[in-house]
Amino acid sequence: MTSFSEYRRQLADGLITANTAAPIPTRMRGLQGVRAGVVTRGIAFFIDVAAVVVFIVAVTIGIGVFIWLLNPMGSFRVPSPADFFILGVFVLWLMLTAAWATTGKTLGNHLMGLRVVNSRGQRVSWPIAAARAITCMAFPIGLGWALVARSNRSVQDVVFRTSAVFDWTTQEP
Amino acid sequence: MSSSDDLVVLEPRPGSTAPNAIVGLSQIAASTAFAVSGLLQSTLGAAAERVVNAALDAVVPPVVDAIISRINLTEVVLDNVDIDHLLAAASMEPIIDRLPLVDLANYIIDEIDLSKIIRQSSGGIATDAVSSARVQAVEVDTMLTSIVDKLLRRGQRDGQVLAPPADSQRISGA
Repeated sequence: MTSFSEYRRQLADGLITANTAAPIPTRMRGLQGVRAGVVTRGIAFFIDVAAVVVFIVAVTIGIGVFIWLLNPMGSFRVPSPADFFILGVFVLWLMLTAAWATTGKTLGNHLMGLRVVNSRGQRVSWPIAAARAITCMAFPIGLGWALVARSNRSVQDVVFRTSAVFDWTTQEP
Repeated sequence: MSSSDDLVVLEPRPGSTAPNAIVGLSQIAASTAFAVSGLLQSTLGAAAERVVNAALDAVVPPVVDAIISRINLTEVVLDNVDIDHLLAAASMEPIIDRLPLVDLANYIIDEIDLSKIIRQSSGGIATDAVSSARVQAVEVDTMLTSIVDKLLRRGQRDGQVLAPPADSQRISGA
């Protein structure tokens, strides 16, 4: 039987792990810290794009409803596709930059169990995150290099010396 | 009454209810003696008791201390007392009534972060779905890379960047 004081000491010493952590399937444990493949990363990027689209549509509808409530007889001009596109790119850039520079995980990364780290396996800096986000949006096909490259690196990873690794935990490296 | 004898006989008058004088005197004497005896006894008894108590106060504590210091009382109790039997015979309800069970329960909940465990457990279905999607994506990735590697005729890839998180080694997974 473990007393509370022993439990706390073992937890502090790292001898045991709190039961609150999500379990990792046994066969996936060996993949933690390994660069992910193109499919996983592609799905993650697609989820991020989809999240931004949903966000923008929801915000647009919300603004339209708000304006209608203020002035039911007024008119609300639906933004053009070009406006949506520019706004979407900007929001996606913000989201990717902020996520990679803080936790290393965007929404898509989180769902697919990925984390973007620098060459030392640490969190990437804000400038690198911002530049990487721009190149990922402008040149998404660069991800395809991960399929060919022996190290599973995309073009963006090679340029910015970053990696998208499997990390199913929620703790930062 | 005879004049030649010096013997005086006191007799109650016939028909009188007065007690015999000798008997009365002897009763008075006996009572007095009894009272004096009781007084002496109580006085002497109290004095003797004080003396004995003082002696015991002076002698018993050091003697008991000396005895206890020379024996392992815990071992003696463990060897000679059936604690299980004692506890079985004890009434637990008064003890439980005195325990701060609610405080204790709150302390345990805080210590093991029960709320977080419940949150994690309730998210189990979503977690399973996400986990399944991740595993399937990994399998597709593995298949694709193996095809590419075969086409390019090269060995296994080296994608290891970080040491596997320590947690992943310790967490019991499905």
